[in-house]
Amino acid sequence: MKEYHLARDPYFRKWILEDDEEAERFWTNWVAENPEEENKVLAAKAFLLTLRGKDTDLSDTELELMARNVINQPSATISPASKKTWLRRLAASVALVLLTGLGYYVYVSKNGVIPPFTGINEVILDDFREVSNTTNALKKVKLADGSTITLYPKSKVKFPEDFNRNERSVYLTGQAFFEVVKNAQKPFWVFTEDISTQVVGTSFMVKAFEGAKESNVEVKKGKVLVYTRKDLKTAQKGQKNTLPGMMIGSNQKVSFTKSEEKLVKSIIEAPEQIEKIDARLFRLEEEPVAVVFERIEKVYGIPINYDAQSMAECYVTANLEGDALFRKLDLICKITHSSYEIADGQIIVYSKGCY
Amino acid sequence: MVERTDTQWWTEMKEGDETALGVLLKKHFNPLLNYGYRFVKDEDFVKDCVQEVFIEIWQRRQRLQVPDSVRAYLLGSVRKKVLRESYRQHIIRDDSGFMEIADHTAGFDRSAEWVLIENETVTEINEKVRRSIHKLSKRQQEVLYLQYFQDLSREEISGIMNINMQSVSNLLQTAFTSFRNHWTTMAFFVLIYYKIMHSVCATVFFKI
Repeated sequence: MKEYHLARDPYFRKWILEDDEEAERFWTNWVAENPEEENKVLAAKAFLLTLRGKDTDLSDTELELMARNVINQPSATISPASKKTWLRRLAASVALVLLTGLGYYVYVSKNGVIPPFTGINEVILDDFREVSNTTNALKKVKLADGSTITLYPKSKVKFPEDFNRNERSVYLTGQAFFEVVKNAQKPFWVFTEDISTQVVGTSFMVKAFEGAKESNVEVKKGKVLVYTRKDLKTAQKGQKNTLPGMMIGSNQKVSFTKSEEKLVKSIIEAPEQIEKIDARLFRLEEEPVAVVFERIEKVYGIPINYDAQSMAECYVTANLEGDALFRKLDLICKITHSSYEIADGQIIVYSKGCY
Repeated sequence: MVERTDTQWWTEMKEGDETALGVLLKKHFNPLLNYGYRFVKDEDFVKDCVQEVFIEIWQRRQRLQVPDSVRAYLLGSVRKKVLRESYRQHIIRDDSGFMEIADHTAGFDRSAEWVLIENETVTEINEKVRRSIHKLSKRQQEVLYLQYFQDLSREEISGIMNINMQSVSNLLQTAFTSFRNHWTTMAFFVLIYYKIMHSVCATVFFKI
């Protein structure tokens, strides 16, 4: 008897897969009588058990309950017309637009209307392209929509083979810089283990290494919405009507710490100017501090919070041309006897006023 | 009383017989769960998917045909459901392979009381079989899984995976070739280690 025959033998399967005692006795005896078949039996057994994998079986009680659930499920308002499919498709696309547009999402199937099996092409599901960077250098990946991914070492991305067809989704492990081509109709999503980032058109960096305590998204230019995967899942299940995303803009950053499971907004380490202005505008001469702050906000895209009233008498005379953002702030604060801190992705200036 | 077939239960289920639905669900739910879990390693998610497949069947029962093979129909529906929902909910599917790397050694422990178990050869064989399977491509593993674990015919497999019969045969063929090559190499090592001639694994494991 060949192993593969054994693996398909109903009585053998009864022993291995159903733990049947009688079948076990039979096969134990059989092996005792045919010791030369012992290894075939062992191999067939190992083969079946490996194929079965993890035991996910539900108990009889759970199955009983499940059957009741299925029967008692409120019946869907299905009318046997072909219109229905069209309506559902429309509903699905509306839901998607809402998700991306207003931060609102309706999970159709939980409301009793079960989406049909058709709609998504299997090919998309099965055909993911995967690019990994095992080198020590950066690796450029060009996407069908013209967007580019700069993949950092020890990182990999996965995306549907026919990217751009329905929705632009990239799955990332590790670190990558994204330059996304604007297309409001097709939002660009980056999914990592803990966080999801939604983009309209922008360039930003996502860092989410496997096993790392923290993952983060840094925006170079533009605006992105960051969600925790958990919140997104909850929202999609229809338990929440609003998506608890966190909006960040240029030079801002969101971090997710595994231990705290929440998103924290801050500013990236070395903000760069996103708007080119005449550098001489930072050669300041008796310039009201409000004007200077406004200029900085515009150039770096980072909001500055300060008490305009108490700083009304503050003027700045300094050459800040060519200084990095934080150096500029240090100097301004020194001159105006104030201090600043970064909270929630903004710069907050504390001042006792200038006299 | 003669045991009723799936097709008979299905026909009665179509008439609105709740017992028939219960019988079909209880018989098929666990194997379906096992199959879905191959694609997404999230038991709750897969449970929801399988349940939704049954809900849909129950609610549309009057308009459904009686499938040639109820089991193949259910497996195919679960496959589509899981793939589709995981895509829609942006769940990252486990792509480490169709079979799990960890965890299934658990299954082997159950037979500790079996007379022949407590020796190293057994552990070796388990490990080798496992490794041979993991060396196969995802699709090869899936075909093997459907044929041997779910005990389906090639025709049924082709329906579920949405590929033609020839492709199923080719996948099985290449799976066995690769399996055989790997197994023979391994058998060589087993020979060295245990100095057991012929009887161990020197025989080609699978022939097709």
